[in-house]
Amino acid sequence: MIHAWLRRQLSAHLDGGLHGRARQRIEAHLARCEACRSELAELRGTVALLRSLGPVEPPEFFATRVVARVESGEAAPTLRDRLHDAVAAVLSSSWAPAVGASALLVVTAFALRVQVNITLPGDAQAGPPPIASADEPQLPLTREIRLVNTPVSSSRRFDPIVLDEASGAQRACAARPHDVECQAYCRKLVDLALANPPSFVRVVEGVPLESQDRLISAVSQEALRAGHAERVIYQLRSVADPRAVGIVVHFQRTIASRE
Amino acid sequence: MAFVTQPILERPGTLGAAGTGEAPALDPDLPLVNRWRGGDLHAFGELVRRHQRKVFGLLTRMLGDRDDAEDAAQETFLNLHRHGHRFRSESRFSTFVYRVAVNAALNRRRSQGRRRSHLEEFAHGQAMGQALPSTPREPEDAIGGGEVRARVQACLQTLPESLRAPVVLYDIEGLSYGEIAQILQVAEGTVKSRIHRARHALRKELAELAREVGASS
Repeated sequence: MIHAWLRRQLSAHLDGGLHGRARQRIEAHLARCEACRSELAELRGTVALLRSLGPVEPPEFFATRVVARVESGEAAPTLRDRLHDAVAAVLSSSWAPAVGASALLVVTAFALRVQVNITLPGDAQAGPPPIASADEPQLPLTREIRLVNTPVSSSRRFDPIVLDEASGAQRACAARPHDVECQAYCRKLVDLALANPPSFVRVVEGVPLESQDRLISAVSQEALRAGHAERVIYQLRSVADPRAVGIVVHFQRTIASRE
Repeated sequence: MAFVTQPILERPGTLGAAGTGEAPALDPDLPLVNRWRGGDLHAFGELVRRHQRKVFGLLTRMLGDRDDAEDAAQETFLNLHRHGHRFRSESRFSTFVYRVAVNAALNRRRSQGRRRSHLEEFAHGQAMGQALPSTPREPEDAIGGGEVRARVQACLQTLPESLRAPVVLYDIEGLSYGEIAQILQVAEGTVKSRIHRARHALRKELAELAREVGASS
């Protein structure tokens, strides 16, 4: 186990990222472990190979062509850009709280009145095209779910995830996936995935890679337990982000393993 | 033993204290940026000339195709001109340029709808003549050979984008962890973790070559 830990530190050691006792431990280990010395040499070689790629010369007159396109008006701000800037200007002004509160009122009123018919992929009247990769395992998701005037109950309302809380809970999930703290955090993530799937993807993306699998497993188990797994998958499929596909695959595997 | 006492790699062309919170007044691009913001298109052209090699290099390594890289590089600078007013001088201008370029690369991938698996990417590389024998014809040509570079580039394409961008920015472009965190908008710890994972993945692909190069360096 210690050997495996040390091997994972070799790349950081190569960059001089280890100090103090950690560095002493890895140096002592390297002095007696032929396999790790060999791996360190290969890593060093890999970095040297990457650096050998060197610079790439742009085509001739590249800058001139770019400036010509700018002069012809191709870089003029679009309507969307202007809207974005206008919203950003309002949000950064002293009017922001009032404008935000008004917007929230309008959105809430709309959400409580809107009637939504959601049909899962596989149905003849499928909604937004799902993002699916060729190798993605497919589950028979043909059941139709209708959400008619069903606002999210107060107990499952989306609660903004504070960064400190998130990092603490992520650590709990990485160390003890069945811990109460982890389960509470996963419930919030399930709510987030249902209410705002792009934000959910960003939260998962922000988790260190070595912890992502455990966190997604914990969240998918919580979604399954709460009966929301298929809805979460549906929501994630509607996100135009390749990273969402990976999370969907993970969810589907968890569901398949439980069935 | 050398590997114990001197394990640390020399960093290629590091960009000084960029991304470490140093005063932006040190940013050599600021005078040109100010002129450009004042409507001087010549200043913008000069900024393009200064950064075109970096942008072109990054995009070529990210996309693996020179034509794609050229289109994405043009899009990068058009977007830069379009959104340049959003640059707040809180980071270096070069960091902002890299961020726009990475977004251009990711957008290009998405718009092309490329959803190939890594194996398919590699197969595509082979079909395009990029994948080559694992051993160079001349051992002493281990680093300098064009064939080797093509193979390294092909292997780079087998990485997922979330790993490829950080390793290209760190090991090839020479940026700091802090700058990369700003460009990719993730935590610095995440950047380190992804770089290390990318290197381990590449080491497996390039084991034979890496052993020769590692032994000689």
